[in-house]
Amino acid sequence: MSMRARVRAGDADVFGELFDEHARSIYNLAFRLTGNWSVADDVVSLTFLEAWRLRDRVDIDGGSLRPWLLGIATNVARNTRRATRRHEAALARLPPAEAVPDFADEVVDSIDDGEQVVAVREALTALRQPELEVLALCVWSGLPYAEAARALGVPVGTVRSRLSRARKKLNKLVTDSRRRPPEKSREPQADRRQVEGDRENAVRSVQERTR
Amino acid sequence: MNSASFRPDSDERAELAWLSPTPVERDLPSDRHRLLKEFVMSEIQQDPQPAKRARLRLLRPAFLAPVATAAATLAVALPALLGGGTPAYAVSKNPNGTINIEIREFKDPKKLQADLHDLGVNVIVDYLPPGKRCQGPRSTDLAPREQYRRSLLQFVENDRSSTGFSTRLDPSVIRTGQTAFIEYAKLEPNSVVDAAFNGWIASGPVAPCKLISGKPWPGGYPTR
Repeated sequence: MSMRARVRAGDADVFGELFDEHARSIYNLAFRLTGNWSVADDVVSLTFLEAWRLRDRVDIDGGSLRPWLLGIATNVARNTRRATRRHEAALARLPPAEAVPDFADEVVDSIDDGEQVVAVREALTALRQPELEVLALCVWSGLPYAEAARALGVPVGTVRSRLSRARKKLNKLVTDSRRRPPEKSREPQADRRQVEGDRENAVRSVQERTR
Repeated sequence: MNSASFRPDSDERAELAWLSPTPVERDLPSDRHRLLKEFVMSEIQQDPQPAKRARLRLLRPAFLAPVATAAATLAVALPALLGGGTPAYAVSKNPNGTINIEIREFKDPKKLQADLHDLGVNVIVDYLPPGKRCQGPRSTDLAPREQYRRSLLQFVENDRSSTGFSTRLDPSVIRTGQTAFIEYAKLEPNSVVDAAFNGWIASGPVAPCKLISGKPWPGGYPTR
């Protein structure tokens, strides 16, 4: 039986496998969406409780369940309070995580950690939640646009437009700081892309109508 | 639509990656990973609180189910002809200490339980009629599933002459002071399979099975 079929059938063991495989991705995605490691810890558990609750919505056909889980994690992170309420009784049985410092008092002990905090903090402050979500899913977690769209339950065009807004805002942030890229390395390419993109866009519209 | 919307995905992604470098990944601390996993597994294997289930039923039928399932659960096709003059069940001990339990008729679970006790197995046995389940959770102190996973109770392929539903119980996974509780369910006539079972080990008290309406383990069970 495929993993998806086992999820649908309510095979608990398969959730253990999914946990081992994807908890780390979910943990990091949740941190990027909330900026708080303790909340990210909660999001991991809540995501799997939600996945269990929603298991019969999984399509039998398809590839990895990672996009599905990341979509659930995004919804949970967006509304931790609602998810917490839904699983209140269960969470009461979960021993609390040890306190992990978040932005406010993060001890930056390596350059990597420092960059991580800065990148996430900038994105968190500059972007609206829907823009942050597509940035985290498509750029940081590496989901293809179509899978991010499915995970979020929005059309792929919406993912593109949110990313486009995210890019503009982050660009503005960079423009205002020392990290501005050389202008000429981007502009000529933008013109070329417009032609290619036009054709792609026409195809995409047809696909969306038939969805 | 402005020109930004026409960017090919790969270019936009690359630029975004440049604008916001991918944060370094952090691992869940390994003990936390284990603890969260145990927590999740135990939650999805347990019945919800009855009051909560009743309340949630109104909201979302699918939530009826966060429950007991699969690991030790199996379902099999039962031959239409059950019983027929033979005893309701048969118990036999294997050389390796496991015990074969063949259910031929869904009656006398407590007699079966007593027979198993006589073999030194601390186990509670219940039968579920079609459309019924035990009100749960029957124990608030379940042993970690890893302790017994599929080994507590397994389905045994019937030989052709058998008319019953055969399972194999492994008492060695039940530790001192623990109690196993197993449930055999006769499923409704329109089910894909005729019967199923599930089993757990508790480190504390186990509530008697109070039958209520519902699928035996709404979380489902893998079919062969």
